[in-house]
Amino acid sequence: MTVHFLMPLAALLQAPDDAIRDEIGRLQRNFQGLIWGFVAAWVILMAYTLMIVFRERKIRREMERLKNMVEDSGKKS
Amino acid sequence: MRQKVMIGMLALAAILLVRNLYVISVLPDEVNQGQIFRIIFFHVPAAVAAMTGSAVALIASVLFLVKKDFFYDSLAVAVTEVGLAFLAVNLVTGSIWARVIWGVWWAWDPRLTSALVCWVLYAGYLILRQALEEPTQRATFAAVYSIFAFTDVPIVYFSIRWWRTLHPQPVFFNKNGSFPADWSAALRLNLIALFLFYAVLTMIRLRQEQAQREIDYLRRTVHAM
Amino acid sequence: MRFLRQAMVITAKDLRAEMRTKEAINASIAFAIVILLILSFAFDPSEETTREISGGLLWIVFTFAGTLVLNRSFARELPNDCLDGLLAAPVPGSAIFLGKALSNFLLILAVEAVALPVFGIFYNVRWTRQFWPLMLVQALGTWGLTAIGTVFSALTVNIRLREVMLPLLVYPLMIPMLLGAMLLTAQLVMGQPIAGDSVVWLRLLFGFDIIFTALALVLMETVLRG
Repeated sequence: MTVHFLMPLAALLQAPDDAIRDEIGRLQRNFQGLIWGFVAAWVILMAYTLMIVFRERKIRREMERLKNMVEDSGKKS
Repeated sequence: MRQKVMIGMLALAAILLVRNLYVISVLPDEVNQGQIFRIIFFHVPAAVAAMTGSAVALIASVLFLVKKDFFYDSLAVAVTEVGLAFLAVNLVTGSIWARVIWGVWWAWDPRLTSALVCWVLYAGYLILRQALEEPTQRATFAAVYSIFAFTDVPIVYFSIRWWRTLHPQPVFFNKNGSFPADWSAALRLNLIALFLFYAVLTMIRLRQEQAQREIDYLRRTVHAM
Repeated sequence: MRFLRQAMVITAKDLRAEMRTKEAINASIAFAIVILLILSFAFDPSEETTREISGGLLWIVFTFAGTLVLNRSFARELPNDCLDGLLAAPVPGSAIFLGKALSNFLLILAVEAVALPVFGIFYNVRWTRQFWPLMLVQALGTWGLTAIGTVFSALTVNIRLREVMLPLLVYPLMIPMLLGAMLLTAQLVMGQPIAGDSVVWLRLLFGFDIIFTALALVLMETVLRG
């Protein structure tokens, strides 16, 4: 990725100072946006996966509890 | 057996996604938009997966109404809920993309707006389910709503597209510049990876829904004793 | 024809009940006027701007006021087990749908018939330039609202938070219809006829109505059976 990042920068070596600063700023924002985008996508997917994992644990605990209750009342009667 | 299938799919999805991260970083830039265009590798597959999910939800809803088998109801919930997560990915990446390219967090672009309406529709589906307690009624009404929602989706898409193209506002529509040719393969692989991930999450959620129904049944039995 | 007669019986019953107490229609008209009043504080526009926003404004008013009528439609059947009586009738669900939908349609049209002149007065807008096309758009849009609203009124009748659930479920479904109706209404109030590009919205309204009426007729039985 660094190679492709440097190429437009190399082309700017011949441009006036202001234009270079603007272009560098634009490239940085562009790149930052990409990173944030990827982060957001992964965060959302992971968050949902975690929600599912927690629900799974809750369900297992509930099942255990109920099975114990069924066995207990089975033993009593 | 099913456990192994799921783990296999999950591993495959993970491998594909990681490999793609590498591939994505090495691909040449897109001319007009620069680096940010790479976001399309998540943005588009997430939307496609979510739309496929909603089609599955429709079929599951119809099958439930016809066959009264609760498996289809569980499938509908699972697919819709996972679809919400994937649509959220689509919306958030789309918003970030819009911010970088157009300078605004939200532009009333036809595809993004349709995605937002779909998100709201399917969130409504989940809210309806929460409001109904009796399982058969919940499944039936949710299925009816799902059928209405799915019928609405294409109409929403076309109407918003007409709105945006026939009544141009001072906003922008051409999000896609040229699509570089060698990106297609990577895009397709990411699509497959996300589809696999979607399928795995759906299967787990489906099983949870069926387990929840068993819990409710056990609870009723225990209280009856 | 028996089907239509059965539907008409239900329509007549609903309208008669409503005309005797006038509870839903009074509340709905009052609500429409209040919203028009409040929205008039929100804007202080020139006449040209008012005409441009007229479409959106009017349809917000119609949708909110219409929801009152729709909610009432099946809620009125709850006391004294009237709903069970209706379900026990040897009438197909689709006839019940058509009957209820027609009565709701007429009631909401009545509310709109009051709201439109009030709008013209409060906002100082002459809306009668394209009167008959405007009436057509009103009818099509209101039927879309009614068709979906009636099915969901039956669906939500026994849910807790019924008054919130009905709008929550129905409004997103109606977005395409609202889009078309708002755009056409704004255009007609501004005095431009429906031509060229706008015809597509008219077609959208027709298509929307047909598709969702068909869906409602098919699914109403399922909803009533619960």
